[in-house]
Amino acid sequence: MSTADKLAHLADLREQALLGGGERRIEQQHQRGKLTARERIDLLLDEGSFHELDALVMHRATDFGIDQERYLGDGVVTGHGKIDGRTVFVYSQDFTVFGGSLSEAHAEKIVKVMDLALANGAPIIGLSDSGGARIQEGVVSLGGYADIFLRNTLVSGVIPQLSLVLGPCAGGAVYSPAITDFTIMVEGSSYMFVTGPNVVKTVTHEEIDFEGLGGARVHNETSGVAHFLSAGEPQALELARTLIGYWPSNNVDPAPRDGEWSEPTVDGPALDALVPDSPQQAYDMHQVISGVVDGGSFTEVHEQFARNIICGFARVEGRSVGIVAQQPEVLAGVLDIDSSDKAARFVRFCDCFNIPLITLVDVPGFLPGVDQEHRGIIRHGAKLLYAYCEATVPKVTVITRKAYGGAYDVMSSKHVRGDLNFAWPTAEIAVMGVEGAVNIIFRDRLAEADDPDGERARLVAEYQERLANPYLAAERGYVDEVILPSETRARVAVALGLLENKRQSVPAKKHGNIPL
Amino acid sequence: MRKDSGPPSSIRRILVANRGEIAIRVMRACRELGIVSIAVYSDADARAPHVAAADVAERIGPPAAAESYLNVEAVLDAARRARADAVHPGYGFLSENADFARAVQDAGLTWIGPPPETQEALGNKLAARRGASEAGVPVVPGLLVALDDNAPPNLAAIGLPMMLKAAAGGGGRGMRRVDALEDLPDAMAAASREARSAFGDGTLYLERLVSPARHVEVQLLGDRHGNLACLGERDCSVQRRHQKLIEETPSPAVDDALRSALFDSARRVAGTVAFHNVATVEFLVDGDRNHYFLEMNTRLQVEHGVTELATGLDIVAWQIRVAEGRPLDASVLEAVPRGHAIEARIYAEDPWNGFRPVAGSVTAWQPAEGPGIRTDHAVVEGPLAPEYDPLLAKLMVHAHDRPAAIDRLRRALDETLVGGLQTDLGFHRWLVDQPEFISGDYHTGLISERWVDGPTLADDEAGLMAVAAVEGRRSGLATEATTDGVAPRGSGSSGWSRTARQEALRTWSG
Amino acid sequence: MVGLTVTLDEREVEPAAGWQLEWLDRRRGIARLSDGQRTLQVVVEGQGTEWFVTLRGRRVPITVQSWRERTLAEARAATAGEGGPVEIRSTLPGLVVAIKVESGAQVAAGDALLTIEAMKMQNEVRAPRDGTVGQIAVEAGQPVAAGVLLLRLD
Repeated sequence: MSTADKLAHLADLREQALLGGGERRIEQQHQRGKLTARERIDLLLDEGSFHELDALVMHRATDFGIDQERYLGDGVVTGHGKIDGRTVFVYSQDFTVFGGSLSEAHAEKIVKVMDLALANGAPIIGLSDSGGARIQEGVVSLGGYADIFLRNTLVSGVIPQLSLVLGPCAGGAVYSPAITDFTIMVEGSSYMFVTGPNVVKTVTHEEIDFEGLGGARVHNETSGVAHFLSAGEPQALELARTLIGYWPSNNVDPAPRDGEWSEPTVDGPALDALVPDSPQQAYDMHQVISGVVDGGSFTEVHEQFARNIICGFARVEGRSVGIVAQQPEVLAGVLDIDSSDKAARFVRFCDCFNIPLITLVDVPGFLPGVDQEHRGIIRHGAKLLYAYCEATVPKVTVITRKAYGGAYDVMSSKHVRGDLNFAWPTAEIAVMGVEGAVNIIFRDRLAEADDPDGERARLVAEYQERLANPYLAAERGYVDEVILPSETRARVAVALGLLENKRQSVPAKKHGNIPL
Repeated sequence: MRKDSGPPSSIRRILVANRGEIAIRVMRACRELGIVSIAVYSDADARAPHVAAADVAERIGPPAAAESYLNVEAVLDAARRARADAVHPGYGFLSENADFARAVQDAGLTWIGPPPETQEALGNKLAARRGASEAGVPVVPGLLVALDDNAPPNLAAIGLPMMLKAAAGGGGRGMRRVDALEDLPDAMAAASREARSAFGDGTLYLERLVSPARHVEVQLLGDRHGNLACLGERDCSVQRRHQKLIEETPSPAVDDALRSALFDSARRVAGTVAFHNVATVEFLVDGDRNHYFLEMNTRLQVEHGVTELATGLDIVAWQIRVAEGRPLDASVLEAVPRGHAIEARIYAEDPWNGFRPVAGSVTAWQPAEGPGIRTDHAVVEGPLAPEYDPLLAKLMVHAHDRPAAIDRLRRALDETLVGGLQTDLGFHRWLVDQPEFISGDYHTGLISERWVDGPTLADDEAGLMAVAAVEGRRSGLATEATTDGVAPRGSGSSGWSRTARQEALRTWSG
Repeated sequence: MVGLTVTLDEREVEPAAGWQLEWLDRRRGIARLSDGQRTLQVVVEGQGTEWFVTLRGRRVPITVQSWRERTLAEARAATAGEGGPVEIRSTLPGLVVAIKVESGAQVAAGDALLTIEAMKMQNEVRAPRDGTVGQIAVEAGQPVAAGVLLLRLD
């Protein structure tokens, strides 16, 4: 073989590798409205920045005649590239090769790229599109999954991990996205379940289709397994780019700051007029967020799940921040099991990755009810409390209206190491709502009154006047400053600058024992 | 106080009450004559080319023309401050404002232009039309008196279609085409309203519409000693919305007989008023080579340059000499136009979108060069001032005959490059390849009949443009931040490896 | 950078074969196009995917995109123009206290559609996007469970 022949041979191999399972299967993938593994990588990364690894890896299995069928790459494309100029590592399962099923060699490729991501302190992005374990390989395939799960866990909190489920993801495979920080699913083409509709029917006699059991909408709205719902694959991949833009590459580096930003889409005076006079009337907390963050910078996490609390990434004068905010328009912004879980995990992600937290509080308390109590609201509410107590990133809190009871303590209060706590003049910081408080404090007096309703109204007004305001808290320093709503963005921006070099630590420990 | 009609005196300092290419044109003449030129500028023009071209510059107000270039007091103040002894108005702005001319003279300055009385007399188009008719000059059939609600009974005799025109008019405002007599009342109401708002005078008159027609004008230059020169005609038939786009001299539609008839008529019209300095007498010429007086403009014309190319004269310099009281000499009185000259006006407007003015910035400007080419312009790279006329440049060519002039114009148009905004260069480039234009057999309806909204882009041109765009993209990639337009976020140095090293050392020593 | 697609006047255009561009003044975008036989001067302006080329006095906007850029742009356009009816459902059990729009009304994103009282709070249900109010499935005074269809936005 001459040198020229050797070079030509490599060119042949490369060309072959690019075709994955072959043109016919690529065509089938396109007919399903899905992109190929490589097309997805092209959309995800900066143009031309992808460098592939292990393109020539093939499986080593021999059973059941599978040795007759071998493809370069073995069903997963791995490598590294850039997003907005920053390095990320990526693996993308190739459904055209054995349905993207996971073999020993396939798993080794993923493990290799994860190890590289960890060693170099760069995010890892996994694009799943896989029928599951390569059954012909048996237990070796299961071992491959476990190798991945272990690494998902070890790098958790060290480098950001982002999962995109762009096809089936079933059985044990679901636990990789589940451990990673965020999961994006695509409407109509992504499915995640531990056991599929057939098994469900056999075991529980429930009849349900793929979409109803584990479709993108179910996991975004009901289970909370997925954090983002995209209309299509390109949108999902672009969202992944957006998310990476908020995050540092690892837990040592600070969150990125952009040099340019747009003014907020809601102006200060609009915030001054936002909170209704009646405490029974809701308002849209998204307005407050839009009035505080840079225009167009907000990306909501779990938008469809537990909508009584809003979590999301944004920028304030170019600085990445995590926003946690009650939504008075949904369940009055109450804390319940799902909203506590949602916010707790979000707070912990921000704390892992040096992303300052901005908490906007309008919380009437925890959701009462037998169902909530029996399902363990105590246990779940404790997660959010734990997360806030533990977090050492800069914490800026703005109480816009209600901050009642234990929920007040939870929501990044001064007592759980809130760094700068602001309150609007409309804030009501109290043990409970006015009516409830009057009914308890003045129970005897109301019982004896000739005109209990009139007396209650008088007492409510008096209590409202004396206690339902931010000033008692401000007197004690629980609120650092009472500010006009229109001043919020400016104060938050100054606070973030002030807290840029904040140092705070927790006692040395192996790890805490968060109530799970 | 020295009056303009006084004895000859030499001018030393001329204030040019204008901007853009015409201001520069006048300043160039000043420089050649050893006269100090004084520019005026609005705040939008502080760094404009005409300011740089002048010896002295005076600010006259905010960007809006009404508060600067049209502000008589501000311009006169500037003249006083700069100790001007004469004012040249250019064209447009205050050039045909008799009150301004009079105020200039009252301030003891020399007005470089026809006397204000002449301007006043000719400013009323209806009166001028009457005067011309009385002097035996053919006018377009129609009314010689104002049209009011008591319309004379013989309107039908004028012939349809007709044109309603404003007595105080100009620039197409207050004009309405009338195709049926019953449409007249509505058209009158609309035209009168428009004329009143544009000129403060709603007086209307009526003419037959001459169509097809050519628009031919005669350049006059007169001194204060009774000498009057006809410096040839210009054909301005390529028009859109009554605005000229192309002017050429001589007119391909004018033979020697018609030319002497036009000159004779032009002299007669000029004879109806006390006239000196420059003016242009405009005529319509129909298919049978009949000519009809339209109006007489008492100022330097935009298109004077083609006459200068053909005659070799400096018309602006002669305006100044005449204003000084000097007589025209043989070089003017016996001037013989030579060869053929064409001007293409380059406007910042989109011929493919109804010739609408476009806003934007000029990012590249390359005027044509070489033999027989003159480009009068005031183009600088940067944003266009939206307050003023969208004329960017006047491209003029001169050659020994008309075919050579067209070839030269085609070449010059290919050399003239404007980046950043659409101009009408594309229209001109189309025009010079049209058989009607090449043969010279065209009329004022050319644009509305043949151009309409312009030709669609040919496939081969699209293919060439694609080559250019792709190469632009390729060569620009190196300077692009990222392909998605987001600034790279990875510029900050990472603490990752340093931290790891510190941890490793601590482990080893501990 | 292989596989750039050129779109001009909403149609895909193949670059003319055999023609090459050479910069005369890169900063101003002045260049010459040549196929070895003929030469034309052009002005090229723009950045990223959006370009303008002026050829023979005609300035035309041209989009130059890779497959990636085109796919993302199309997806963005599809998301922005997301049409189709939207069903608005209650997110919480409560009482419909007021309906603020009528069927057929034009609403903008963020406009209040109806008010539901729950948890002693008046909750505004807002339009998620611009649209026309279609069927209104509830009436004032009606108690609703979570997930009940309230109205449709066409």
